[in-house]
Amino acid sequence: MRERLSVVVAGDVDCGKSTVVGRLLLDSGTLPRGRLERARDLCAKEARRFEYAYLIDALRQEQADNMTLDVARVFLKGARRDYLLLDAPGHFELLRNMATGASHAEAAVWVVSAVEGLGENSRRHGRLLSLFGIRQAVVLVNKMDAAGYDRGAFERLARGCLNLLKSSGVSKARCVPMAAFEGENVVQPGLRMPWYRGPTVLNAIDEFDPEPPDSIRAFRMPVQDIYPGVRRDAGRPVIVGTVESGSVGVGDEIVFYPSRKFAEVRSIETYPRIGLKRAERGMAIGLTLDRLLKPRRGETAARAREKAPETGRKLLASLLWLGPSVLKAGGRYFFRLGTSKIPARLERVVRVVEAATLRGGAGRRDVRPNEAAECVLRLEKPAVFDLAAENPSASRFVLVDGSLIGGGGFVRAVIC
Amino acid sequence: MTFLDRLENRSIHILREAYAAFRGDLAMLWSMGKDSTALVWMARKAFLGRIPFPLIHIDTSFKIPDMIAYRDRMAREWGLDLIVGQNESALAGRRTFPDGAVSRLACCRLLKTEALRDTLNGSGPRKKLDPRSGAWKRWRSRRAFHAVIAAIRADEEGSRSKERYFSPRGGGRYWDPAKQPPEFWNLYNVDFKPGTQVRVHPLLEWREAEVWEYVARERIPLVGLYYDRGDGTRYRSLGCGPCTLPIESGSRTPAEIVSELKTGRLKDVAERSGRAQDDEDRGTLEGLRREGYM
Repeated sequence: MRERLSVVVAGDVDCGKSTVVGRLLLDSGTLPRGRLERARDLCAKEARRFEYAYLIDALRQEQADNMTLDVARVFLKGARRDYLLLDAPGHFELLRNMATGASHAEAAVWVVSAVEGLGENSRRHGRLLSLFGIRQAVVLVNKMDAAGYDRGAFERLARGCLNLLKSSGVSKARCVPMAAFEGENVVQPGLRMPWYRGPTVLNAIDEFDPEPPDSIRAFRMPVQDIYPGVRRDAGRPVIVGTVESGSVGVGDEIVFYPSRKFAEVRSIETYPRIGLKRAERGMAIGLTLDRLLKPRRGETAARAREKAPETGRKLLASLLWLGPSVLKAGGRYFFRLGTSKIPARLERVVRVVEAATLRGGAGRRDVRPNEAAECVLRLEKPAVFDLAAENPSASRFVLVDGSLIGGGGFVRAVIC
Repeated sequence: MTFLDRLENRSIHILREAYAAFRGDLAMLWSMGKDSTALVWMARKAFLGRIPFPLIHIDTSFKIPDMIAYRDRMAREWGLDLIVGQNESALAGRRTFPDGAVSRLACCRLLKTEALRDTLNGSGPRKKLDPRSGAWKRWRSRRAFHAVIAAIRADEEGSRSKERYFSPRGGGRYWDPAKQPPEFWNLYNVDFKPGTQVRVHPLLEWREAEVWEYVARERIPLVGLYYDRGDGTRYRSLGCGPCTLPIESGSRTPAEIVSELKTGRLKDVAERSGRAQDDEDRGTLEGLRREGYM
């Protein structure tokens, strides 16, 4: 079975993002038969110009507005593996959907227009990719047809994009000049840019690294639930969860944080299979212990012999706030990390990193929707986590405003 | 872990999150199709053999008879807590497409969307399978389910590709894909206001061929309609008899279906091409889904 990598497709509205994806599907031979004809017929019936974007922009409202409204999941066949493309919207108001897409992706395709260049909104997309953990990207300089397939124009824009990505933490990046509507450099090498000798879009995507193995990091398993025991095991409660990082084996001594209760792993429970000796990252398992211990949902299991997780009530965090209301100093929220959910107060806005308006920076007491910021959070009870620099998957959190997720980010440091 | 293992483990994680968040408010839709049956299989794994919430089947009364026989057999074999809901008044009044009274789309709306709404909120007629006698009994409880697990997949059609894993629906269950809250990593929207509903979609990232590989690997018993039983046809997608057509295919096993989907003649044919109601909805299910269709 082929591997699959999740890739977020980001870019400003009008950069031709959905056209890029539509064209990729068509030229790679991924599209179901009849889909192209159906989209063409629909356009003809409604007397509109055909767009490749209609192949994926399935919802009625978007077809009417010519705009992608939410993350669409599109499957793409590459030469080396398959892809799940998360086609995120470019419109400023819909940043929450792009962030959602980026948080589920292992790499990014960032589309910029050779005509419009790097506008403020486009820069924002580039910078936000790293905020959600993206470390590798391909920049597609689209609409080269409208820029006369000019090498100088491409190189200037490419330099700007690569600098921006590097400075925000995307360590592996390259640029491809292309014209999606014309099919130049999408899957087949283009004919109109003989000066470009690099890979096509699909080849560049095939060069992404798969998710690295996680043997180096310490074992972390947020407790999801406690299930009553199975009969053959004398009703010993089963502590269920998914291994977030590292691995755990039968006989390991484990510690639950923050209660610091410890026990030895007696068995790893999966159904109907029995006798599993070791569980690695990503596995949804159950543990039984050598003593009667009932940790609660929200606690995190770690191995006694490995590095202990951090605990703290006052944290420095970087986050993206998506609203709908304003995140205010003094405001009350729920902090959720792993399986824990802790009442929290936003103590202080340290600085707004990426402002929606030009009046950002220090000295602000609130974070408006679509702004990225560094903040100090004070929690009612200690949280258990790792720092973003050491173990990102155990450092990410969301803030719940009322009943819905309003933003999310990473824990950078413990203050106390 | 293989890629299939990763998909399975993520779905199990989501099932457990849903149960941790919603407990007695939670139910799961089971249509006896391959997707929701694979999900029932995963739920048995997630909860170590016994699914701790009820399954719901919305019976339009036009389902292919083999499906109903299969449902009752598996429910007993797997010890499922099974609830069946039905829009009895629409059926009694013959307001259906097969009766010639309404369009396909209006029929879906009455027998599926409205029946689902009334079965979940407890206002509609519901039956329960008595696990001992195997008999169906009227379920008099008023218990409502505010969180419901559905086995939809993103690659089925456009509007489903826009879904979240946990999707809070407003009052009236109306879905507005443009106004969905963010969903980051594996932290889902599990808090909801009274009067609203959450849909949970653990299979969102599975593709059709992957479901079949899983069915083959796990040897999940499915209804025989999916396989060619001698006449060179089989069903690729199961729904109501009058609106679902078999396809020409000689696949007799899950493994044969996998190779047919990956390299054979179904390689680039859309899965729901045998479902007639999709064509009435401008090539998508969007209209139906905004109102609460699965």
